[in-house]
Amino acid sequence: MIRCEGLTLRYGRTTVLDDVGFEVPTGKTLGLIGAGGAGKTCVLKLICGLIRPQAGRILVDDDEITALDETALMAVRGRIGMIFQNYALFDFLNVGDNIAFPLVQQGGVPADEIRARVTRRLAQVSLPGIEARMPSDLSGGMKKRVCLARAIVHDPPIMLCDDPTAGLDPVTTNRIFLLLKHLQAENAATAIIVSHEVGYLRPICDEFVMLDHGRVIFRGTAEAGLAHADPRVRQFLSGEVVD
Amino acid sequence: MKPLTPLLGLVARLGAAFMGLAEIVGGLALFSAQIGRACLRPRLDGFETWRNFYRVGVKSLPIVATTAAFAGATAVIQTGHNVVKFRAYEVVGWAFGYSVFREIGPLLIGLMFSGRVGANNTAELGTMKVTEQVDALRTLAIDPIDYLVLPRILAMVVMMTLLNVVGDVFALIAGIATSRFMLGVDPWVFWNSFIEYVTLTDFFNGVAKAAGFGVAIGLVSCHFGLSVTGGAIGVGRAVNASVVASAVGIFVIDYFITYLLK
Repeated sequence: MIRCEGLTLRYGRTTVLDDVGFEVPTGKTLGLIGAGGAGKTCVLKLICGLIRPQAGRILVDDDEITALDETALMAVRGRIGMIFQNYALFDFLNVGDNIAFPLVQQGGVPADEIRARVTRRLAQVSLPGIEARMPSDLSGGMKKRVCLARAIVHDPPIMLCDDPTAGLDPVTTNRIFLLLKHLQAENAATAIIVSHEVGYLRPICDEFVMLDHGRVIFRGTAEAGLAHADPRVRQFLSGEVVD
Repeated sequence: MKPLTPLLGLVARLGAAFMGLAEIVGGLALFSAQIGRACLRPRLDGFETWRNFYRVGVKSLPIVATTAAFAGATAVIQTGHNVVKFRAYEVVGWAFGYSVFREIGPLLIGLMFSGRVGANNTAELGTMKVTEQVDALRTLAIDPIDYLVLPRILAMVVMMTLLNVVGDVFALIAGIATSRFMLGVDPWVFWNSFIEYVTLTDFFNGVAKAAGFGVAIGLVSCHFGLSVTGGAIGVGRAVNASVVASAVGIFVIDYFITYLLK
């Protein structure tokens, strides 16, 4: 379960998030949508404890993220798999080592098992046999899929996906969303997916939260959003221009 | 709003400069405290540590050897005029060893090391910061101080010290060759003068300085790298600031170690 209550985040005089609150029950998937600059990435970074809010609190299962110090946060982060908007692959490691990284660092997993898991995850993201290649040799779409493979290699019960299909072709986009759905179902993971691909999100998300200028303007199912009184919500969920 | 008078403008600029300096010094102090705390329970990644030893040490060897050799040769040329004038051939080895081992060697190698390794380190960490690789590490429950910073600082301190020793050897060889071919001093005369007058204290004085410079370059380059904001422009600014701050740190440390070990 992920619960955010009254999150407020400011950078100087700019208010990035203003009293944001929502809850994702265990095993459910939330689509976090909104225009660029609405504060979606900041919400994910707050949940990971990468940044701290000025007000509000975040609960991940029984842990209050906003009250934990860096050492205690490490334990919580071990249960989270995050896909970054800018891939965030380690330049100095090859693809195989990048994906194996969480398992190697956690320790306790035999080398054979690590290799097998890396091979399996690469196959799942349709990139078999590229373990030895360096991230700098990959296209943007390939990096995104390697990033996904790294985020899920340790079967995290919580998945945070920041625009996992940005810049990908429609076929790969569909494949990634299907994979996310499959993994979420397989591990009964709790997931938050930030994306502008609302058409792909609708079948896999149980609920949506829409942010606009740092405020929540909608929370509910896709159907409720399509019938919402606010044209911004209808427009975003349907993809149509509403005057 | 009323425009500031020139005097007030000057005060405002001085105040801003002072605040900027205080931010850097305060940031470095806090960062040093973090490093100190991490050193109490060091969790070094073996691969990352050896990778840094290699790229910091082995890859710096050619440039350090070249710098040291020319520093040694230059020291002999500088003293050459008086050596020939007073026919004081028996002090050329001492003059060389005292100046190069204590001062010129560690200082020049430190500045070279700062330009090559420190700048590279700031750029690498800064790029990792702006491309969210540092955030990715934290998300994977890995402390960037343990994984990125400690191996780098350890490698810089150890390798700067070792490179200084290696540099001393190259400087000595270059000094002997220069005194032989430019001043006509027999290598044995140089060597005997060197062995007789240059003490281990002179040698360890330089080694202590090199270790201090390694700490300064490591702390400064890592701090500026992990403080980068603002994309590629921010990385460029950080590298520039890191090189300047490292150079200042080297001279300040040089002064204090010279004073303490005088």
